[in-house]
Amino acid sequence: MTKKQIKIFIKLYWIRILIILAAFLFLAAVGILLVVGLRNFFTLESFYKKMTLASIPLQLFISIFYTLMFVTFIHLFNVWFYAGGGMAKMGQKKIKSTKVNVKWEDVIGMESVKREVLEVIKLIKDRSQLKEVGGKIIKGVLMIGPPGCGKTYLAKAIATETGLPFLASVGSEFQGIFVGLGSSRIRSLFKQARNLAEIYGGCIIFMDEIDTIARPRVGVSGFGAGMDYNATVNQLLTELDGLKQSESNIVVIAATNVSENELDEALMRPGRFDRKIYVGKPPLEDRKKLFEYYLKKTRYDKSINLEVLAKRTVGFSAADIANMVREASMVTIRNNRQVITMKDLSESYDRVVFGLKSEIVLSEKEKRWTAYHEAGHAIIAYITHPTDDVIKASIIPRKGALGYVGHRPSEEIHTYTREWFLANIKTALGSYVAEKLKFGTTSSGVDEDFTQALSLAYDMVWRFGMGDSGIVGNFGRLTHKQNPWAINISDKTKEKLDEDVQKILNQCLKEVEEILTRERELLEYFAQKLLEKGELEYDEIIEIFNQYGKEKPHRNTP
Amino acid sequence: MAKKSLIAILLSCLLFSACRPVSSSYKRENVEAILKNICQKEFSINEIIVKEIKDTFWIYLPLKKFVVAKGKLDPEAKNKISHIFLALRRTILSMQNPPKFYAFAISDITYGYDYIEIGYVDDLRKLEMFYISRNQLLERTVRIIRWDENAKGDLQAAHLKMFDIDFPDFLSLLIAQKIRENLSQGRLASYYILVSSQGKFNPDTKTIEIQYSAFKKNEAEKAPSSFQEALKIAYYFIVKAYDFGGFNYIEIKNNYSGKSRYLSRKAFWELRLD
Repeated sequence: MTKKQIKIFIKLYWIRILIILAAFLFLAAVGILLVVGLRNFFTLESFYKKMTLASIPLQLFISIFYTLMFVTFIHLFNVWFYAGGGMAKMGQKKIKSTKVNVKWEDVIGMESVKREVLEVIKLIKDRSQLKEVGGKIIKGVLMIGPPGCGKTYLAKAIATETGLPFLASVGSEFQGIFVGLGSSRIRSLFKQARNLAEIYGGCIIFMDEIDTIARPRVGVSGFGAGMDYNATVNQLLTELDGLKQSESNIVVIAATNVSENELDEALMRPGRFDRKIYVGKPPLEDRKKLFEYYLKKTRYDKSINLEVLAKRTVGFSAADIANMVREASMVTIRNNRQVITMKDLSESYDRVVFGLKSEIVLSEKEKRWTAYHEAGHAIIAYITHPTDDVIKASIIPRKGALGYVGHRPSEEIHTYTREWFLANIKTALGSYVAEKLKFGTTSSGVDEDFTQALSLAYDMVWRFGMGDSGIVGNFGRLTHKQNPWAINISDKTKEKLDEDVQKILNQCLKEVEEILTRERELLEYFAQKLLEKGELEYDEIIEIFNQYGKEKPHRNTP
Repeated sequence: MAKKSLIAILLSCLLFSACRPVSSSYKRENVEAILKNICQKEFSINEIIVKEIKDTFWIYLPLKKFVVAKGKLDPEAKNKISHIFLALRRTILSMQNPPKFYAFAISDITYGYDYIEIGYVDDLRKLEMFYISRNQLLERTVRIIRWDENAKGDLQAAHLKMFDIDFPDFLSLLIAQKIRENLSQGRLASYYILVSSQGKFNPDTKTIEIQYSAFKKNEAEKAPSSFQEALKIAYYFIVKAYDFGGFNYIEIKNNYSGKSRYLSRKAFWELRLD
């Protein structure tokens, strides 16, 4: 080796050389000490030799004992850190399946959903059947549905049923101030899950509101905005089904309120979120079962007709029903009763749907105004609506509104006809016309009504092609800026569409004017009744309309 | 696999090699020469005399200068004493069939002054194994201090009457010495005046006889009982320190007051003076 070669060698490997040298010196020192020590040991008198030798077993025992203690401590610390959550930065807690304690029998209704989920549970618990066939384990289950329908509840039932550790997290936890925080939290979550899966044989990760981090990846602006979000999504994609594939029994269950189309395509593909389960609002039968389930936990009047309750609560979610029963029990206590009655349930229904009674005190003039305003809504809704019943009219302020009229369909509707839209527009405009007819002027109270009417008319024309001009297409969606398929429509088309909207509104206004002018007496009577009683229930409303010979309009059945 | 077997064999050799018994470094027959040799070679001390009297080992060190002032030892003398004591410990403890007692006699051959320490070899062993402390060893050592004209110029220990010590004798001397210390220098010194304290073992009756003579400085003053103190001291040495049962009776007597107790071994043990 030449001098130059030696120099280069030293330059490249100087750290290794230093380490080897240090190790060699250390070993040499140990060797010398050993030799010197042994030599001195052999020169000791027998008594001291015996003393030294006698202490060796004890010293050995002590060092083994301390080593075992240290190893045990480190092992327990690791188990605590990974299995117990330890110093997890996210704050997500590992929830023991025994603590979740939501049994399968506690999930009411949703039979088809439960069937699908049960299959997933079976596969999580026993993969042997699947392996025999040669199938791959399900990685992810996405539950989509409106809020309060039982997605989280179902996930808890899955945790209890499988008996596996349940890591619950919320999408917003993966967002933070610092770049890289989201992806780092995803990594640590999955790492913890893998460790738990090793210890317990499996793990369930539940991500609520996954739309926070599962929307389509964004373009990165000049200043790097969006990079962190993309990094978080990419990390999630990798963890679910990335390059490092390993058969750990981890299932990710996610829940979201938004449609599947609004989430990132890569997440929705098979191999990541393999199963998509739609958890919708409960139908009539399920609502009946839900009322039965929640009322069973209370003391209630057995004569309560659950069918009537179920019919009244069309569009209610499971959470709404639970809330209603809870409110009813509080009403019962407030009224010093022992059992929940139908009246308490009605009152709690009003609280849930219409809100708490407000502290606002109306003057006589304002009361009159509100009475005619609400009477307008009620009459038009009763006479024109093809599906809804008017169930309540009130001039007692609630939820910031001075009065309200509640109308609900008597059965579930999944498709909305033109007539349905028109009836709702007319109902909204009813208050405006009533005020104009009675007082010769109008007020700001029509603010929300106009918003609703315009919104409905807009949807009719821009989304559902229900305008008179005959232009068809979903212009509302396709002109949305966030939509990657967004198109530009001409100003001419926009003008025509706007004209159609106004036409619909004006037509409806005209019809409402005709109806209310014709039914002036009814309007006066209704308003007076409202002023007298403050609130009119369904039966009272029916009685008023029957008095004037008004029957319920023919239902527009397809 | 071969590597693992080799390591296992090496470890086994290392372990089993320690199973061989350790033989004593010194033989009793040669101990005089060995001790002299150690003192000479390691500490350059040539003047010691070593004698074996049955089960008691005597070491005699004549010094020209021993005590220089009240309570102060000559530094050179102090050095020599500690070296010899170290050599004594090493030799006795590593000896085949060691003696039971040792007696270390130091004489100031200029002024005729003897200082003799008599100790129990087992206590040395306990000290080395940290079973007892240095202070406890001092407590368990009999110290004899006396003036003797015959010590002047005696390099051969001719003036010393070397004797073999029995354990009961040793214990009696120890108890008497401790009573003397407590009543004359210890916590009871402020209440009592000690005239004398002696102890001996009567081999015929197998009785430990402890006699002391002490009286109260002030009769009116309430003082702890000297008799009780003497009993406690005897109990400590016989029962707690040495667990000695080789006697039939124990007699403790205050010659001044006439108070005495004569107890059988069983009765003495049952006193439980903890």
